[in-house]
Order: sequence, then C-alpha cells, then structure tokens
Amino acid sequence: MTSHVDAETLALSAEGLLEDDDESTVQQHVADCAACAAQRSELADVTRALAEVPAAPLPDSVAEQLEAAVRAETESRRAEGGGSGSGGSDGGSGDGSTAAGSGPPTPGLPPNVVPMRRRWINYLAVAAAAVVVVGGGTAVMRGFVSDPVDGRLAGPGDGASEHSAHKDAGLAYHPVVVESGTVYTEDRLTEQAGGVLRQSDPTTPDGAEGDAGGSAQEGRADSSEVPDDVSSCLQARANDSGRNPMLVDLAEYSSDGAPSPAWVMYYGSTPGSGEQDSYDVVVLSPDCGTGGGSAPVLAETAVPAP
Amino acid sequence: MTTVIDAVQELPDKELLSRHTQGDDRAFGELVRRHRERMWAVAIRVLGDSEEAADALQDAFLSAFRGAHRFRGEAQVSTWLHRIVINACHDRMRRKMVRPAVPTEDATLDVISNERTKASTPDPTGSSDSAMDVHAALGKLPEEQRLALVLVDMMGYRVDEAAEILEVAPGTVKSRCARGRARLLPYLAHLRNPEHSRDVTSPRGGDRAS
Repeated sequence: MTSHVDAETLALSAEGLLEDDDESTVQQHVADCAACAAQRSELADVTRALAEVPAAPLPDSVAEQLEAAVRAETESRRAEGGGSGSGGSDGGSGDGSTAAGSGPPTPGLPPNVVPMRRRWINYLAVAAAAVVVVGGGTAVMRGFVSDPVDGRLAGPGDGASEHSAHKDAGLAYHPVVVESGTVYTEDRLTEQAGGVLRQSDPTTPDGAEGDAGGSAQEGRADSSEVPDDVSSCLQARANDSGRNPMLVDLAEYSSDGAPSPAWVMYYGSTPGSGEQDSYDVVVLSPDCGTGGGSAPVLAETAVPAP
Repeated sequence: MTTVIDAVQELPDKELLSRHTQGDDRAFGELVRRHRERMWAVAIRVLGDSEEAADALQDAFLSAFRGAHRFRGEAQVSTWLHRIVINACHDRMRRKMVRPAVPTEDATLDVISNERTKASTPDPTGSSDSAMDVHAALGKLPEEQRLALVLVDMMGYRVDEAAEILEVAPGTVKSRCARGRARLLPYLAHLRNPEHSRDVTSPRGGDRAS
C-alpha cells in the first residue's frame, strides 16, 4: 500500500485542486485505505460542523447603536454643510431613524458601550479623514502630509468645521511624519516605539514645547518631504481599514541583523482626540501600497501614549 | 411616480448609496437596515465575540458612510459592505493580537476579555458548547483561511461570491478552505462524535495501523 494521504492533500483533493497524477494516486490509496477514507469523510464533517454553528441574531442593542451612529454621522455631515443638497420630501423613511434631526452633536448612545461611544465621538471629529485620501493623486497626498502643525488631528471641539473647508481639496488629514533614524527590531519594538512617541508626540502641536528634551525638534525636521510611495501606502491602508496613522516614522527595521527601510505607522487609540490612551504600532515594508490586498506587516505592537 | 421612488425602501442599494453621497440623509440608514443582520452574521463569526463584533460592525458602517463615494458600482453594494466589514474585523483581530489582555477602564470589557482567553484554550472536558469550540478552533487558523471558511462553510456563500468579497481568485478561496478544514480536523472531530469519529465513519473500524 502506498503511504497515507495527509489531511491537507485530502482536503485539496476534495476541492479538485490536485494535479491529475496526484489526484489519481490519492484516489487509489483512499480506495484501499480505511483510515484515509475515514479521514476524508471527517473533512466533510468539518464543513458540516461549521455550517451548524448557530447564528446569533443581531442584538437589539447593537441595532440601536448603529441607528444612533448613523444618526450622529448624518448630523455631523449636515453640520459640515456638505450634505445639505438632499432637500425635498421627508416622507419616506417610516421609522425616521436616520432623518430625525434630533439630538445634540454628541449622540445618546446606550450606556453600556462606553469605549465604543468614546471612539465614535472621535470619529466624528475626523469624519472627513477617510474621505480625503482617496480622490487625490500624489500631489494632494504630499499636501496632506506636509503640515505637522495641523497634523494633530482635530479635537472634538474644533474638528469638523475646520476640516470641512478642506474636504474637497483632500487636505483634512495630516499625520505627523518623522524620520527618527530608529532601526526597529522585533524584540525592542515596544520600547523603541515608546521612545519615538516621546520624541514626536503627534498630539502636541509641533513638538517644540521642549518638555521632552531637546530631541523633540530634530525628530520632526523632515516632515515635509514624504515619498510618493509612502503616500500610496497610507492611501492603500486607509482604503482597507478606514484608519489613518497619527504618526509615521520613515525608519528601518531589522529582523535578521540587516536593517532595511520600513515605515512605522502609529495609530492612536482614539483618533481625532488630542488625548491618546495608547497607539497601535505597525511596521510596514516599503512595498506597502504597491501590491494589492493587505500590506505586508513586518511587526506590530501597542504602546501606551507618552 | 416621484413619490413612490422617493420612498427609500423602494430604492435599489446602488441608488441609495448614490443618494447618500449626494447628501440624502435617509439613504444610508436604509442601507444599514437592509444589511445589518447579514453583516452582523459575518462579524460575529469572524470574531466570535459579540462586543468585538458590535464594535467592528459600527466601525464598518461608519467607514462605509464616509467612504461611499469610493464605491465604484461594478460590484454589488452588498459585496462592498462585506469587504468593509471584513476589513473592520481584520483590524479588531490585529489589535487583539497585539494587546491580548487589554486593560481598560471598563470592568465589563475585562470580564469579556477573560472569557475570551478562556474560550481560546481548548476545554479538555469538552463541556463547552460547540459554537465556542468552533470559534476557538477557527482562532487557530491563519486569518485568510478563517475568512474563507466563515464565508463558504459557515455562511454558505458560493466560492465565486467569497472570491469577489475577498478579492482573490476562486481557486484561492478553495485552497484556503481546504487547508483550513484540514487544520481544523483535529479540533473538530470530537464535535461529530465525542468517542472517536473514526470508529464510526469507517466501516472497518478505522484505526488500522500502517
């Protein structure tokens, strides 16, 4: 008897993905081998087990949150003046859940979702951010990364109105871009990221306040020159996730002792707020933005805000 | 005629999305109502945790609200929404990975996080319910295999539908599913038969040495 067929080969065979030769070998073996025949039928059981997992219906509370979220976003858009063109009849939506012009800019969300609500409010402040990155070409992208002073994403108070003026020009989103000179490594990533954040805290106006020592300035010096490929990367990632980093470090990463260029994105935990609890730090290789699909992530961590 | 068309419930998805981008304040809410159940079903299966799924769902619809003008129109709105939800789930999973036991100021979240930790460890007594087992097992898969299996095996989407959502070739979806099923085999075999499924499925008792 030929040797047993492993589960993966059996599974690929079941999908018709094997080459003809391999397929017939598998078929011959399985015809004679009870163990492999059993395993093949167990594979079908896996599909069945997955299909049988009961679907929990959408909880009412979540549905309500969504309604409130859409309502709040609608309010925010209306406040920006961008979405006033609808005009016309108001007789359509029966339950009025989206059209209701109710409520202050801060929506009344259910009390059991504190973290989400907080994030939501902050999203309002940067509602224009995702809009931005799309339309423009590189010229626009250069523009949007070029101003580290405004790079501090708007706080809840000043965000919407200030940014709405730029919306059409695609200038609403300004990450802080630095070249810290760091060679990031997997082992020390968290520590290094913390250090860069202390030097270049994106929530401070321009990093020149000096309370973090003299190095704050130099870390930001290069923020006006952003390669086009970095812009493409930011654009691709924003398209994927809707998130934009608050700080980008054009640096290097070493996994095997040989540093190579890497872009390190710092995603604030509460985008749009001047106060961050923590940052998600993602190290990307520079082919980010060139290939389709998700960017090649070299390493990730999370660090508390400085 | 106009009044009929103006009732948002009557409009096709694409028209709603288009109206939304033109400033119609009612259009997006209708889209949410149409798709939220399905999108929830995706998110809860991918993430296996209702708080996480609720978060992802909100992130996703928010993202869709803001990014509606990016919709090109060659795909179904539903397909596009699936992508956005899956991306939101991806974001959640990534964050969970880098912050496994995230301390938050919210006590309930801590509880949930503990429960999640528990769920991700296979329960040797086999006493936990099968949905938990399945999710724990899915958690051991590479994300791309998990997503393919959620769409195809759990949600029952056709391979070509899943391929369009995931923006990969149908053959890629098939092979991700196949590899994922093979990996799940050791974890899920007991769900079909707590004793030893091989004894049952094989007419000759199966465990023949070789």
